[in-house]
Amino acid sequence: MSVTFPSFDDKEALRFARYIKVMRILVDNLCSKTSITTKRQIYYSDVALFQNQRIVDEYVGNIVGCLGVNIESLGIMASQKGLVFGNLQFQYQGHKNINISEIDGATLIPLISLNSKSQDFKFSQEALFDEIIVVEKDSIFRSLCQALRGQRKLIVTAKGFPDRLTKVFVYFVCSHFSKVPVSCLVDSDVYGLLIYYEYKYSPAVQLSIGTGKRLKRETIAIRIGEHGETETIRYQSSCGRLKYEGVRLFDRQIANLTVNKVSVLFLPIKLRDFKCMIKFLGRIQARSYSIPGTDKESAKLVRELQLGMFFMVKKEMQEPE
Amino acid sequence: MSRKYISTAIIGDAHKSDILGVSVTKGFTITCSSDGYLKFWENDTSDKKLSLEQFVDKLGLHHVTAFEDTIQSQKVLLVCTVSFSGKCYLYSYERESSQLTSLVEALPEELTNSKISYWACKLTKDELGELNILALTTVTGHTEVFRILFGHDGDDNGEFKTSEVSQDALLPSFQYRGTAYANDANFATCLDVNVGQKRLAVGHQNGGIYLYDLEYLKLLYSFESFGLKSNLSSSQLSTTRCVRFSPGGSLLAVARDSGPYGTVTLYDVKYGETVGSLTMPTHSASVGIGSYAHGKWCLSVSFNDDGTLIATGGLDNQIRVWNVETKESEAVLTINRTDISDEELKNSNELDKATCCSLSFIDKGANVAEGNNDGLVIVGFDRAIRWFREAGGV
Repeated sequence: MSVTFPSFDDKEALRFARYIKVMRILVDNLCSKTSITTKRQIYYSDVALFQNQRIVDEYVGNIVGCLGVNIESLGIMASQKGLVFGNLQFQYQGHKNINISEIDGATLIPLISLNSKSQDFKFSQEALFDEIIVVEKDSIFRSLCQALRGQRKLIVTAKGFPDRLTKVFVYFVCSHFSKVPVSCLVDSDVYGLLIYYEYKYSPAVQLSIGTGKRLKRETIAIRIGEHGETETIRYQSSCGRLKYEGVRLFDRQIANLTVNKVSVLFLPIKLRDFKCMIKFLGRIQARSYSIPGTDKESAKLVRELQLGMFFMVKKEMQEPE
Repeated sequence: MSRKYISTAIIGDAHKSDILGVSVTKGFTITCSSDGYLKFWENDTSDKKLSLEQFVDKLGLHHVTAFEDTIQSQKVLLVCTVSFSGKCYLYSYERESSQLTSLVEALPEELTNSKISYWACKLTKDELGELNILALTTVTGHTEVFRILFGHDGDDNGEFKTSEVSQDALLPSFQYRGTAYANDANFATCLDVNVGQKRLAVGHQNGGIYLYDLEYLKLLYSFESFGLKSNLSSSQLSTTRCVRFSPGGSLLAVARDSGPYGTVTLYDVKYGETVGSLTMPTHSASVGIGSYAHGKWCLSVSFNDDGTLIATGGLDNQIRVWNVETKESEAVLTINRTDISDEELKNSNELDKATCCSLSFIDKGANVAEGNNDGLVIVGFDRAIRWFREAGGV
């Protein structure tokens, strides 16, 4: 990264102005009381200047890289998109007490660092829930919150495609309470299946850097280090044991749905769905061919996609009226 | 008049996943499945021996069609299949080595365009040997039509040089003829071609059917769906599942969804009029006035070789054989999964019990031992293939 000032080049001047603006917001923010902001907030503080969220992300990344600090130490946190409902208490990083309770209703997913380590969490005693349910849609989340109140469930939604904060949160909760079953309630359409795939297989938490044996259900990335050596970065997905309990095209719907009078509807798929399905199917099959052994859940996913394409339908959950 | 059909062979666990397509030639029953394999089963053995299996595409296959003819006194068998990736694969069957040769090099540019996602496919033989056709529908509602040429067919003088007949001379090539499009970008789900009457019929996801002139690819008639429409969204659930011309090409049979039910309608091809629907009598209180052929979606229809009978199969696990003249049901075959002893199928999916996804009549005399009767083959989501024949007269 380099910026020249002064410059006669319009683009260069714009770049300079943007960097100054980002740094100014960061400094102002660090001096303020709350001292927490998000990349999204930075973007919205001057949309005309930044034009694009991605530009802000890139510049913030550059500044963080130049200073050689953690992104959180500049007061930038992931925005809280996801919601959680249930009873859960833990101490975060030794000083922050987080208390999620059913009495408060649905609450935003607590602010935790995206680079948290498992020793940052001190969970209170035993689990206050018997099941973790990850839900695709906000509306279904809300009706489940009402219906399952007091039934020892922890319900999480990212309101659509999961953001990193939700994925990290789900990872730490699921890995601490390793005996609690985790199920995923999504629609049987390409987006629902993608969301399920994201929680189950996509990297959420970086485990370690270095060489080592690859474990089952682990994603690795290989990068070239500063001195030209290859480093293996090991990632783990949000929840490897996540079970598909979502809508099935041709199956009796599971109890959690029928009990709450959530109805499911066949809808015709559109060209866009179809194109996404082809791509997604290719992605799953490429993955399952590269990892030996059969994975029943991914076979289910493949079949659900194939049937959706063959019959040209999808099935979505609808709120009870 | 009622007919009786008896089971002649069942192969359970024929594929590793749903069997979505079947095509019958004189020698083989060819199946394709979402496990990505094409399999050839011998018609004339009583145990329907597996003659050949070919892995095609890991994304899975959903449609298969075959072309069989004798060109310059050599037998030719071409197979076309389409995968979920939208690619179409063409093979030629080598009789001596019993293997499939990929025809990927013989394909014209139009067929190898990776931007186009194909869906249904149909190979059709011209009895006069002049206009053999390969037609493919795309997910954007287009239908591409190709002419199949063999050896010296494509030469300018158009004459066969019989002295030079060699294996190479029989390699087919495909000549792009044009694209049929009725300004309807809805998915083209199924199609059929009748060369004798020069007709092409294409069914769409929204229930519409377009009938084109095969030679000029001009739209002649369109048939709308009168099925149930969903009141919850503007989109209706009346997907066309299958269209088939009768052997003479005078009738068009259409299988369409009507809400949760399956309807079969017959159309007159020449004048573009509805001839009638195939309906089953119902005493159910839940069905008011309706003309349904199947209690659930009907996925496949097939005419027998003289066009007197039509077989329909649906997700209700029933195969109905109808008299085309009277439009009355002459036989009902209820297919239960209990007829296969297969412990492999422990999957919990309800659809695993669905026994009929695609069916086809088998021409009389395909298996000499079974006499001169019509046969039927049915494949389904329970991964089994079932063969039947009409009882009596052996």
